[in-house]
Amino acid sequence: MTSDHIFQYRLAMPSCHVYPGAHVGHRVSNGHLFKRHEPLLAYPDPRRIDLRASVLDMFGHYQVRVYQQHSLIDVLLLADLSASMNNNVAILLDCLDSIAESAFSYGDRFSFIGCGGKDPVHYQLKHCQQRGALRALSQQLQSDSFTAHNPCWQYVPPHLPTRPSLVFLLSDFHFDLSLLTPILPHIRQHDVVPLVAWQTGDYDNLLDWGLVSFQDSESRATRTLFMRPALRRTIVQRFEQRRRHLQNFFRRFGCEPLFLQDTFNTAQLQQYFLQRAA
Amino acid sequence: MTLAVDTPWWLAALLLAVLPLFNNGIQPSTYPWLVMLPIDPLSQFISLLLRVCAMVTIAALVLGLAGLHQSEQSRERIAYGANIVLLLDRSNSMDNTFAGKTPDGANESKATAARRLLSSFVGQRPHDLLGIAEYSTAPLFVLPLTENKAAIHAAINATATPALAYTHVSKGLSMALDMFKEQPLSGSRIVLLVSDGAAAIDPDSELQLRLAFKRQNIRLYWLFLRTANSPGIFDKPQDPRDDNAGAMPERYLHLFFASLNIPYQAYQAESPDAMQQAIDDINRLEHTPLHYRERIPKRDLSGDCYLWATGLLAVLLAVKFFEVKR
Repeated sequence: MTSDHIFQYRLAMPSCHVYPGAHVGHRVSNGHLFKRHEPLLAYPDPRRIDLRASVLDMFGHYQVRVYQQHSLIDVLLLADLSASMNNNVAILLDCLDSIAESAFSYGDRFSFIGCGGKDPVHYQLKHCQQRGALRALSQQLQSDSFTAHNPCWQYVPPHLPTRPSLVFLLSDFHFDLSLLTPILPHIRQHDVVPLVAWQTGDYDNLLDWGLVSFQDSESRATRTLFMRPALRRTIVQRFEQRRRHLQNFFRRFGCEPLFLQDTFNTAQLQQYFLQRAA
Repeated sequence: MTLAVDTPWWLAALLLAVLPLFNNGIQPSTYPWLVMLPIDPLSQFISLLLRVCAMVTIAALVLGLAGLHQSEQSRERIAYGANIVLLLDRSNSMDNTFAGKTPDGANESKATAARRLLSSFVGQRPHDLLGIAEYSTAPLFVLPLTENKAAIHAAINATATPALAYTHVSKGLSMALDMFKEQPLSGSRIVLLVSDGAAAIDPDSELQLRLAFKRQNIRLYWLFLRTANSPGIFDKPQDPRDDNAGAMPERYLHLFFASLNIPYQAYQAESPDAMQQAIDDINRLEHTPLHYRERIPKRDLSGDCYLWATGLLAVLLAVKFFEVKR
């Protein structure tokens, strides 16, 4: 895995994991950033006894310096595996690789939940830190075709992590956003990054003239359109409206969606996190 | 209008016509979410039109295969005209000119003149029901009473074939009278006898003819084409001994007709012009209201069906060329 697949990220809130890692956390233990003094009885580490503070202590207790511990975090990729994502499999696989590799480079634990149709969580990878399991999942995703259903988000909450985690929500969001309501209260405690995967060909590269029939990949309904420039402009406008609607929807929950057009680009994700840090 | 089919079991294939309801024939390409596409009335109309086109095409093909036709029917009509039976003499002598010679370029034969004049007579009378019978040694049934002018003209033109043998008028008359048997009693009934000679009628036939003429309520016109130097129908013989049916059959046939007590008119034509005059007379006289049923023949509609199917298939093919794939 080359380093250009890796991006740097930060959790918006401090991690509360026990295990040491690369991210700012609530834990105090070994670290570089001095946090406070604690009694020796609470943190029995004689190497860090601060004699000056102990002398000044009015009760005569030994004071120990404690430092902020960097902890690991859980990174979760929550992917929509409904049939409409069939065109976005490349994005999904790139995204999976890139996010997992970035998590591994931080030493964080990577989880994956694929939300398809009837079978709620067919694809699942939990707290993975091995590339082998990741590769197996990637191959499985590549070979399977996705179910012709809207994603059933209501089955997802039991599988979500309980501690604040970094959650990437990858979907084309080509469904009624009210379907998302079952998971919204559950993902609020997490740091959510909505990734919107869209194909430009669906609206921008349509022909100016001609008869074309479209079949919905999920409901299998068809619609015949007599394409003409005015109709094409209307379709582009509707996609623009949808983009604004998605932005407004996610901003209400305090997160900014990232639109992935046609391909997944690590630099785009990197820029997203840099902007957020600024 | 009554429609019928030749092979009804083909109609079961009409079920195929519902297929376009499920598929409008345009190869669909998958799209992530149809809600993103606007509902366009023009596109909906075109899609509906395509489906209807395809349904009509299939239905037309099936109906064509089943042999759709409009069944024979009749229409009641009232017109000014008459029921006319043309009784034509086909004896050898009709192929001679009025002068009794073989026709050359200048003089036409009696048969040709009769054909020409009768054709124009038929042409002037659009609402008549016409039948044609001929006689020579035996009577020839040519055409029953019909309003089909094409058939009548064809039957008159068919007399252009060389004539036959002798003259046997009584059998010809019985056949002409028989033609009226199955006709409703409406309008005047005319027998137009065109001949250039006559023959004696034997007593048996005479009795039958008398009865038949009375029963059928016939008006009789005799157009006698007199050959030069032959006895006319109004001539009295100079020698009383010659005054018998064997020697002067024309005169005795005329006397027989006159004695029938039916409206009877004899014209003795010695040239085509005189014949024309006689025919004009008849044309003028016979205009009474006529009530008859016009028969409309069976009309095959499968050709129309195939024509429609071809046209619509061409439209669908054109649409197919206009189709684009993503």
